[in-house]
Amino acid sequence: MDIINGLSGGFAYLLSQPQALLLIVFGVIVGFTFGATPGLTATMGVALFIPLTFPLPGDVAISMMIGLYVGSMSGGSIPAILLNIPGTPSAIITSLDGHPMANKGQAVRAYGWALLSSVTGALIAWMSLITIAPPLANLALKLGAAEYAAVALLGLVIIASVIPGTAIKGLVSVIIGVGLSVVGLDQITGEARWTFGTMELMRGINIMPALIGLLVIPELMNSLFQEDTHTRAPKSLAGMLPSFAEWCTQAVNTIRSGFIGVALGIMPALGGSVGSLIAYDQAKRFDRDRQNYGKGAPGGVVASEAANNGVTGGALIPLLTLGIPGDTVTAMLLGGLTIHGMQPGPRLFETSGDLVWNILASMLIATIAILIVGMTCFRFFVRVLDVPRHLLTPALFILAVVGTYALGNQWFDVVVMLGLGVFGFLATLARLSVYPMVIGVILGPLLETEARRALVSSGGDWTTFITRPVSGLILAITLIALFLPSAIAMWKKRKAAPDSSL
Amino acid sequence: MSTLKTLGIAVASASLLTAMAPLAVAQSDYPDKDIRWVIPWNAGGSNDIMARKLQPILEEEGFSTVIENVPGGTGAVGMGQVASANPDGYTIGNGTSSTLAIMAQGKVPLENDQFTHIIRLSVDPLLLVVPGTSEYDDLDSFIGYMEDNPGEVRIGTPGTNNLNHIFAAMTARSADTEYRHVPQSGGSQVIKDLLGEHIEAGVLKPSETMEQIEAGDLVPLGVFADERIDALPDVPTFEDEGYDVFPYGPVVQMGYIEAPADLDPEVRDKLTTAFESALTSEEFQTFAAENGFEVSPISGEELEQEVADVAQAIEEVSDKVFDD
Repeated sequence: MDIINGLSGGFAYLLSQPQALLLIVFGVIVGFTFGATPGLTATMGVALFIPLTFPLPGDVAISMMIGLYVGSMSGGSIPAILLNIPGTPSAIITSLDGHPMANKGQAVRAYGWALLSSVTGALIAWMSLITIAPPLANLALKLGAAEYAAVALLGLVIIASVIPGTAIKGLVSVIIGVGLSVVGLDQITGEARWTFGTMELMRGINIMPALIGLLVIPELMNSLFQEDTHTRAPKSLAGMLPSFAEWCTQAVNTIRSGFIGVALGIMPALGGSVGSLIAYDQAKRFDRDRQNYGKGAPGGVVASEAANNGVTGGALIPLLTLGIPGDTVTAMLLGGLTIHGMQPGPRLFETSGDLVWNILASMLIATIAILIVGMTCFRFFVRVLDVPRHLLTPALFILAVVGTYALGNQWFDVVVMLGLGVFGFLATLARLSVYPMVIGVILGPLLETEARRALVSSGGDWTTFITRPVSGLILAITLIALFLPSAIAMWKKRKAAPDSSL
Repeated sequence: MSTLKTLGIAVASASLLTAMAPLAVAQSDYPDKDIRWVIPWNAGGSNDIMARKLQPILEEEGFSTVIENVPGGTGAVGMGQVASANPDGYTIGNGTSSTLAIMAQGKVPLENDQFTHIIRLSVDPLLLVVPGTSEYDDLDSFIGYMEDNPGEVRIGTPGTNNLNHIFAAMTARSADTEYRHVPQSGGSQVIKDLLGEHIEAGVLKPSETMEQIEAGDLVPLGVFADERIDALPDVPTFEDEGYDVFPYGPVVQMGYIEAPADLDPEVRDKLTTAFESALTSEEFQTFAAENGFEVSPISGEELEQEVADVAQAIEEVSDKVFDD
């Protein structure tokens, strides 16, 4: 009953404040544009615009920040689908099927699925937030370093196996990515590794320069060597959103992926990409269409987008109920809320109850706004396909350089980005996929530091990874994900062999 | 490459409106343009929030600043940019004890004499905290617990080889025993470990734990300082309970404004005055009280001496503490 009272209070307030509603939509549009423009990042959008809310009255400012946050997490699928350039790390998995769909002339359909799944994923997260946030957050706290390490390992194994090509090549790419992540200060002992005495390398290979370098640059270089045969922008956007009957075929996938996203979102610092990966892997396992995954299956787009929006919403659970941010974007959101006199944490409902309902109501409105903004903005973004390659490629290149520089105001990031770009291009020539490298850079540090932290905690006892039930379970799933496909293949071969001898 | 670089610079500065400091400076007019304020930590962190709180107050005094977050290397990357900037007063940055600590240990190619120290922003006395569910709710019983379980008790800190780490080691020294050091990537992650009971205690700032302390989810056992904290008057210092955590001289967690070395004295005075009145403004004092840190704006010779003392103490402690 409290929920309904609180929420209706929140909505009543927002509806009486047209200014707040407008600012939510403004925030969504700004965040969305940053997420959707290759090279510009969600982090940057939030960092630039949160300070703009400081002079506003607290309640209105908070609504706008929520709009920014929700919007910035939703635009990434557009460049992933249209250009094979994920706008955010969590859209990497979306491009696996989204871009092949676009190549088949189904860009509008692919985005329709992505948009609808994003919104559904966000709604699932929102409902989890208003109903079971505190118990969920307390459950998440029980997960320790061993569990985080196990999830990171699972993510790495999945990316090696889901990308097209042999699993061995996938594993090689993963190992390259994890290797890159070792550069920088050792988080446990503070020692500098592979820095060659330079201060710049102490920061390590950061996720965004690696993502832009490894994913964007090879894509642009490849386009230089290809004839300009890319698909033109479709004339009409009709049939963008799937019909209800079509949606029903993906309903289970959407809901499962949304919940996987929420479950991983409540583990602070894990990030959206693992959620997408696990949901994608599950979707592929259960979908009858599984042989088309990686070649343009809608189910792949659905799983990835529903899950990464589940993560985004899920990440607000530890943020609001415990005051623990999971990544830079949520950390900035926390900073912004603090500036406006809110103290996210266990006493949030006591100290700023009205504002909380305001946040929750704003979130729902922002989620609905995504649907409208997404459908409207896609109209403009899709035109990028009509831009001739000789103009588009240099423009994207400039965006990549400027965006990378703006991440930390450091030219060295640009050098790292370009260096990895050339390396990534050479790797694609050798038919090594660059996706597992990026995932390796993202999950490598988690795997390493969490595993070492688990070992420090257990006093050096390796059995901690197996004896802790959740960690043991995740490791068992990892082993299955690694060996089951080849075991099934062998079994089928054996079964087929006697038949052929008959 | 060089044309690319030029093009990139042009686009970057145009599109982001970044105020880069040109060369010519007329000191008497200082400041006649935006000051680049480097925060060598992530946006949203305590240094960043403090700077963004000070920014509008400084603006009113005619000091317009542009905050740039240049994170990495425990603050060394951003402060490296400050050290190598023109000493014209148009580039300043936030120094902290954490950056001082890795400098003192020779882990980064930066020296204290590459900076002019302007004014101290804050002093954050560190706390030893345990989960609210812990059965050890005072310092003596916790130290006793450590004595009874040598090498078993886990203490978490944000980062490693810094003041938090030193005080974790000093806690174990008080119990005259070994402990397990669990470094995390940030304060909020240590809090997560404490609430989930993955560690037995943590060394954290009051500003990052106040919410949990007031809710009873975390219990502060002792303050690593000479005096109690105004916001937590019931929490004893280690000294109150008879434990010496400063056997090698005073070390304190602080933040201060730095400029490149050889700053013009006139510019230095203007910066000091502007920051001093911003720090002592009622608005900022309230903010400090709410967030549990102390404003202690020492400057000039006094600050130079304080920074040198802290650096030397850290160097000495770290020699004895971290070589295991």
